[in-house]
Amino acid sequence: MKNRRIYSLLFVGMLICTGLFIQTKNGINPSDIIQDTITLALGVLYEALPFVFLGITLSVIVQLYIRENRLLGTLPNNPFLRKLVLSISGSLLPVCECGNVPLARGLISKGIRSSDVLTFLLAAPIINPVTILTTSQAFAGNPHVTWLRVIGALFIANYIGWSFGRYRDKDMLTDEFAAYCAHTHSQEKTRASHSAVKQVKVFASCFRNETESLFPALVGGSLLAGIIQTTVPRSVLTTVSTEPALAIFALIVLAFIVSICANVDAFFALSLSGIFPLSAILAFLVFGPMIDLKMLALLRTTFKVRTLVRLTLIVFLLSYSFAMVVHYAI
Amino acid sequence: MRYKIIAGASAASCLGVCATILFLSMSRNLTYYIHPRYIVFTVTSVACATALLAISWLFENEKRTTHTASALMCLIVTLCAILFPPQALTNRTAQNRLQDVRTINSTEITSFDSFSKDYGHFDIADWSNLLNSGPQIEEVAGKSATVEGFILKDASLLYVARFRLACCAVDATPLTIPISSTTSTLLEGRWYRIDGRFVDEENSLRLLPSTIIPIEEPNEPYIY
Repeated sequence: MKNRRIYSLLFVGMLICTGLFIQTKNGINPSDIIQDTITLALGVLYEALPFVFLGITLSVIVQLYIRENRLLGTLPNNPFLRKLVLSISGSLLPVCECGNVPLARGLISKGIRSSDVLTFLLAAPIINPVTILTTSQAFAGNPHVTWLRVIGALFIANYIGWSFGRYRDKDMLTDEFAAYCAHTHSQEKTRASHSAVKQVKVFASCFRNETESLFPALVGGSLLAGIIQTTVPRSVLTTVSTEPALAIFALIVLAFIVSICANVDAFFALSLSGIFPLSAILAFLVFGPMIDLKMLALLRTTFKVRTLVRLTLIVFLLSYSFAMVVHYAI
Repeated sequence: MRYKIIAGASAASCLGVCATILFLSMSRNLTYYIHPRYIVFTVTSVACATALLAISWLFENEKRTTHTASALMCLIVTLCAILFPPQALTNRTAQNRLQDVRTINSTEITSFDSFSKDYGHFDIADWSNLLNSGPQIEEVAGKSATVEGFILKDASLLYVARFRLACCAVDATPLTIPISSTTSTLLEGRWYRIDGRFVDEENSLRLLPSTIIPIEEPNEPYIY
């Protein structure tokens, strides 16, 4: 395990050095590359951090003050309805996809199945008033972009929930997080008797624990997003814009790399709408909020690698297929 | 002892990140990274997080799992913010993203940034949007414009450009106005205030400068 991490770091380091070397050979000042990488990485981090803090706060509230049976009691027993309710519950929670990860951790620790929480995680960034409003504002000339985005998100999120429903939680969650959930559950009964001061200390302690668990992933994801954006020329993607199949793939890759918040990605996608077909733009808008570098890094704190690989592949295939259907059928 | 050192380092480095963000906001440099509409939310949440983290560290009574990776990451972020002071994205990123906006469709642009017909008050964003919407050349040729931006070179063309931010630096898109090829005194990457008028050059609109004044990069180099 330790060797695999070292080799992974060496591989990433080699990629960075190769990218820097090629850019320098092309006459580009390496200090510009480094400065822009830092600016972009810190931009992603500073934009995501407050939402992550908000998500952690909600997660700790869920963990400390909402009893498991009450939380599970608010959800329908019918699995179809339960996933549907979780799909639209993002409308009530004012966090972007980064903040949804700590909240999802809180929900899992309270007994909601991991597969159901994945439905919430994938749907919530898109099916919320802010994202719907900004999408409709950006694509006022193409109103079907908004409702196609919502439909695509609903379909993919619920399919993922059903698809992963056959796996047990312990097969999907990391050992560390599974142990954390077990510990949280055992502490629930004693918490009610704490004094106000003690509760504040416990709240602060849980907040710190979640922050320290998520912070390395957030920084790593932000840094990787910054590095790739400065070392990979955008023209690599725009050269395939004329062929729909390749254009859809290119924008899915761009969405994965850029890691933009779902609340404003519609305006970024709008700037590409003159070059790429609308189906590719739709793929960007559907795939991006679900899976990107930053999200995968955050999800790694909770889910096993094979779960994330499976999740990424299925979401990619579904987003790609959805976009292709839209391109040729609508 | 080792635990105390790591816990202390973790505390210091996490507080370092929060302090960096708060300092950037007080020095009005946070807008180099994120859109101004997020400033209040960012400062509020970071301040609350700082308070909670400080409470946890100050009143910690028992040993807990130490997160060395978290401490290291916080330290890296703090050092990056100190060693690389806030700075606008460079020409290189502008060139990399130049073709993102070359062919913006006119139907989309009116919803993205509707512009008035009062050409006298147009800024670089208005002119860039207008030029990218494919207007009739005779409608715009002869119109006067005053714009401020940095010079961007792409192949043989020069542009006056400025980044627009929708959310954070990662979505920054250069807004550009092509400059007449007869202009040769402009240095790539420098900021200028340019007065001029639009002319038809090779069947496309270009800005022909009449006055070129070098300026310092503004405190807010981005358009929001």
